[in-house]
Amino acid sequence: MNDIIWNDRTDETPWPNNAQLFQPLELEQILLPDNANCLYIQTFLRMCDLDFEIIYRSNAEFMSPSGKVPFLKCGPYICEADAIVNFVNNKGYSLSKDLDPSNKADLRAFTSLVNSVLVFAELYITWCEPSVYNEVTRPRYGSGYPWPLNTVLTYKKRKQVIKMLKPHGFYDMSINEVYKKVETCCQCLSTKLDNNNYFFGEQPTEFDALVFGHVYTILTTPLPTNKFSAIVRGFPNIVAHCERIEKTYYPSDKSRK
Amino acid sequence: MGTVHAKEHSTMTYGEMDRNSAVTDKKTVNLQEIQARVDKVNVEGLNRTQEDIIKRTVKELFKVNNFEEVIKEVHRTQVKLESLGCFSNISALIDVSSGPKATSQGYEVTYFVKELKRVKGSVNTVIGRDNEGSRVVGTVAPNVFGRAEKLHCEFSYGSRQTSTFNVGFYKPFILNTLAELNTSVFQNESDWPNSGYKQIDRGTSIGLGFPFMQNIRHTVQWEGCWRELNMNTRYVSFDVREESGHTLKSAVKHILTVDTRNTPLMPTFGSLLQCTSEIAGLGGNIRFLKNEVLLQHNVEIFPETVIQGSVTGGVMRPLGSQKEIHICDKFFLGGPQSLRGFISRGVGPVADKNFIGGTLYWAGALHLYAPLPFKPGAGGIGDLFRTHLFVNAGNVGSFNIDFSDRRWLHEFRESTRLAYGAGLAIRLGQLARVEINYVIPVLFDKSDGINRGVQFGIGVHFL
Repeated sequence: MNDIIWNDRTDETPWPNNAQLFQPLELEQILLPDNANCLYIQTFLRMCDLDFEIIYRSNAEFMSPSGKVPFLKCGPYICEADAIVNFVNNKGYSLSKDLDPSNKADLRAFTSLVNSVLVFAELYITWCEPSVYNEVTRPRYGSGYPWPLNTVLTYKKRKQVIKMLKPHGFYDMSINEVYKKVETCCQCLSTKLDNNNYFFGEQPTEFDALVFGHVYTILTTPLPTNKFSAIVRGFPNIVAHCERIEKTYYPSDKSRK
Repeated sequence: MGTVHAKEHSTMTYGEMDRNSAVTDKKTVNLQEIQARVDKVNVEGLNRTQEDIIKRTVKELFKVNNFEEVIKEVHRTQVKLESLGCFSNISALIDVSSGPKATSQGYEVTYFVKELKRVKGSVNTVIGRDNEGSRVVGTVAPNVFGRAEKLHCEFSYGSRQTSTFNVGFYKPFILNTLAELNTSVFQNESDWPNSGYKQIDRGTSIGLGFPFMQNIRHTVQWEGCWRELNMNTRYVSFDVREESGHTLKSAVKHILTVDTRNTPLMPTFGSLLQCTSEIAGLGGNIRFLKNEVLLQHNVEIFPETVIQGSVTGGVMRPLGSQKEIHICDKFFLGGPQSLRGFISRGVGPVADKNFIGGTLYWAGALHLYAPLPFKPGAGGIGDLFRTHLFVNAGNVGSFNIDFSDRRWLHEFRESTRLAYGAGLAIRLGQLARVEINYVIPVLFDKSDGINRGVQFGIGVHFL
């Protein structure tokens, strides 16, 4: 509800110099879907040329009011995940304000495509695919907690994710059906991108940040099965788009491979 | 309590000795001069209760020498049998002993007991911490294995949407000693609006209590507790928000109690000393050392007019790799049961209007208890009421305790909180106490949550 209040309010106070982005520990804890989201928001803030500091906390998920990571602490305000883009837009920094209405509608449609396919596919791979769950998710998610809390919390989170996937039909799919959906989604994105530098015109928008966040994470996260990244690699223009953004916005970042 | 029957005309029921001897035949009998011994003790009505615990309870009866001791010991043993918690109705009969092994001064004591049913259920309403009302549904299985063990289970749902459950097992007489074992599995939700968070505790505890000389008691307890902290609103101070999430505490606690009071609720004489040490960090991700002490002394200056002084204090520090004390382990002060004149947790360090507690505290209170003016209902309901005048003071804070630099001590002393007032204290059975007070805070900080005027409190432990 508070998100809605923010969305309606245009806040012209300048960007504070102590904005902090909270996310889980990158090295030992963060999982594929959260990592994609964190990278999306980081890239978006960099594209807006806004100063922020990344703070790693093992309890970031629980500090966030909605349980979603990352969340932004900007002065007295706290907002998380998708609400960050609106919050920043309301501060007067927008990457998509110059788009014409039909492009704006497209941007929304594609954003919802990515959110309803890639995000759920990532959650499926992370929590429902046995090899990934046992070899990657379990040890990483429970890394910050002593026994037996690590087992209990991982089990609890898995139940929560399954509850979320069920109404979208993902939980009942086989892994191949999920890969098929991902492939269709990538095909769609690839067609939209064509040979352009960015999805909507010559300047990047928040959608470019979103795609970069997901694609980069899918390509670089080591998993027991590499089928997921192989599908994405099958679309050269998407991979090129990802590399382009990496070069532009993370020019000297050693940690990004 | 049952009655003690006497068969011979010259013997009298316990407690009515003086009156009977004066009224019936106007002849004084010195019971101490009547030689007596107990030959036999019968306990009628035992079904599933094991004999060995009955034997240890009644064995003192065989040590008596004269008839007065017989009567007193019969009564004492009856109280002991009642305290086993296995019987619902106990009465005693003293008879001259008969049979082949009877001695000339021998008596035979018979207790008629009725065992409690195997399962007992209850539904009630209670008012607990911070005046939160809750419904409690509970079942008890007394005397499960015949040795006064007790298995109990409670579920409660409170007016602030907090629910708790507790399954416990109690076993006295471990290995034939007076030691008691207490184990429990619990889930406990609590809401702390003044601190901005809700806490869910899930855990298990196992404790061993044993008496040590007269009035001294040791309790050693281990508790493993998974705590979950959730913020109440989006606007909770970030300092509190940072503590959100899950922690696991595994702690060993030692409690030493020296209690010479006549009763725990509104005593008229005696004192209480309680020292608690808790060390957390055997497993889990919480490490601290916590020490607390409580001292209470009661003096009856006039009949039924009692002065009670209490002092309590505590200090804790993080251990090992942990640098800060987690908010749910910290000390808090304020509220009708601790520092009157302040709202619950309404004293001490604050972060954006949320009280965050401290690592050092002290509090003291001086009460003058007196009966109601003109003693209405004396000897009956009026005895449950007491008026009291009180002064209480205390402070809580987080200080870096350094004995070479005393500035922290100065600061701690300077910021003492003080309140005084008067009110009515009502004893509810031997279980709880209600207080309605008019309080005037005198010394307080501008960030404190003060409660000037009428303050209502209900609970078991009061400062």
